[in-house]
Amino acid sequence: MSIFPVLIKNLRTKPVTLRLPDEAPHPKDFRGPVKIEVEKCIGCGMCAYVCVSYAVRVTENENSCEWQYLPGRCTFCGRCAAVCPGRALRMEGGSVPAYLSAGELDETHRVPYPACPECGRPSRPGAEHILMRAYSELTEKVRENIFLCQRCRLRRSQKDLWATAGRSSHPRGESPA
Amino acid sequence: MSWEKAFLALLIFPGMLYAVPMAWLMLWLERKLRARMQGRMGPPFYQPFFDFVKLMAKRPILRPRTDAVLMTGLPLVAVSAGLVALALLPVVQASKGFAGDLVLLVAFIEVPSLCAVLAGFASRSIFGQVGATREAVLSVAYNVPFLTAIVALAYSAHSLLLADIAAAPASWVRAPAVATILLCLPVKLRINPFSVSNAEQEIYSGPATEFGGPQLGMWELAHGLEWVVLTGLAVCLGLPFHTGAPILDFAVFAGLSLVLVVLLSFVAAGTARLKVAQAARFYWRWGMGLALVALILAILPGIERFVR
Repeated sequence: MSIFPVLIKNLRTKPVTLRLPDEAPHPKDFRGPVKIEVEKCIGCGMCAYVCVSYAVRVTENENSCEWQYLPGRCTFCGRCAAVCPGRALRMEGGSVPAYLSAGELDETHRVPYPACPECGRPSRPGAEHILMRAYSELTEKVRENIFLCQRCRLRRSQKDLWATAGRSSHPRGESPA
Repeated sequence: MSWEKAFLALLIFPGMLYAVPMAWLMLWLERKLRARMQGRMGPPFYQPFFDFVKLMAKRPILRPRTDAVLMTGLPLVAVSAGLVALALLPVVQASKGFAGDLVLLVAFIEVPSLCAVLAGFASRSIFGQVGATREAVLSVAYNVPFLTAIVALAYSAHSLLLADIAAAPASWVRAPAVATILLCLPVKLRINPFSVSNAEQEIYSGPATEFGGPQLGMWELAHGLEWVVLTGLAVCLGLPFHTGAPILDFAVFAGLSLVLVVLLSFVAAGTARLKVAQAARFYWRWGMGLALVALILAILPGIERFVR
């Protein structure tokens, strides 16, 4: 019978639950919907590759790629944000808002491919901080190569290689065994 | 009761036009109060109506013919039985029934529970069958005291007419008899602590487990009507109060029914579910004890006369 004072007390006090649009504050590292910063994206498609629920999709076009995100499919595992080499993806703090029709929250972003400074063909966007992982410091030459298209970059490194080969007897080292 | 009056009672008051909104209101009030007493917010008052509309708009699941007929028919029978039972209640003084309407009312009150038992077995779900078995076991346990109390009331009023029983002068029989009927309300409405047959979470929702769409919508409506009928019956028999003005009678009837819902919500929120055996034992022991007191009190004057 000691339950009845509890019931009366509950009737008098405010309910602990909230109405639908109201939300309890989320914890600090709460993984919400994925957000993209288009200017940091390098269009590598790693996010789409690791996405288990097919919520992130990347479609390549001639001079751009389309980054598509479907929050309705997302499991908020955070893999895409973890593997993103360009650090373009992050998980937002809050939860996905309620919606009425399917696909209402889906978003598509176009990541443009900049033109190669040498040949003018569209090339994958580069990012300096990715190269920082490969080279401890960025020389002027590396910095120039970032923004070239794949073909021009290959051609330039070939030219460099021949130039080195011309100086020494063997391209790989001083004296072959 | 003339034909026109019967139709009026069935379709307008206390039948469809009153009962269906009242059923939704009662379902909401019980849910809301229980939620608030448990510290939750609870649904808005139009929720049962929205639930009903949503369920009715759904496509029913295709089933083999026999199952489909039974599973569509049984909830409809339960709803109609609830409406007819309501039409028989002597709410307004002018609506005098016919001889023997008490028997008919008791029969119609029992129909939804019987339908639930049949539906549980017709659905061929193991949970439905467990729920149906429990409902059957309990319905034996609570109906004996319930019917004994009604018999005691009828005996003391020397009539099988509901209006006569309700209008009979206050006697010592009425208190234990109405108390027995009140005691039977939670189990007939399948709320805690006697929610064994539909045992939410434990066996999903008992007999209604396999039901969905319009069929489930009809079950919900039948359940709401059960609330209106049973609280209405308790009010009619427990407080034979007629002011003479139909509007005032209606207000008293509706108001007291809602008060009963509040009390039942308190019971539902404050208790935990019993086991089948415990619930059955409760009714065989306490329900039956109270009903027997009523019956003895009803018979005693007759015996006195007989001895003299």
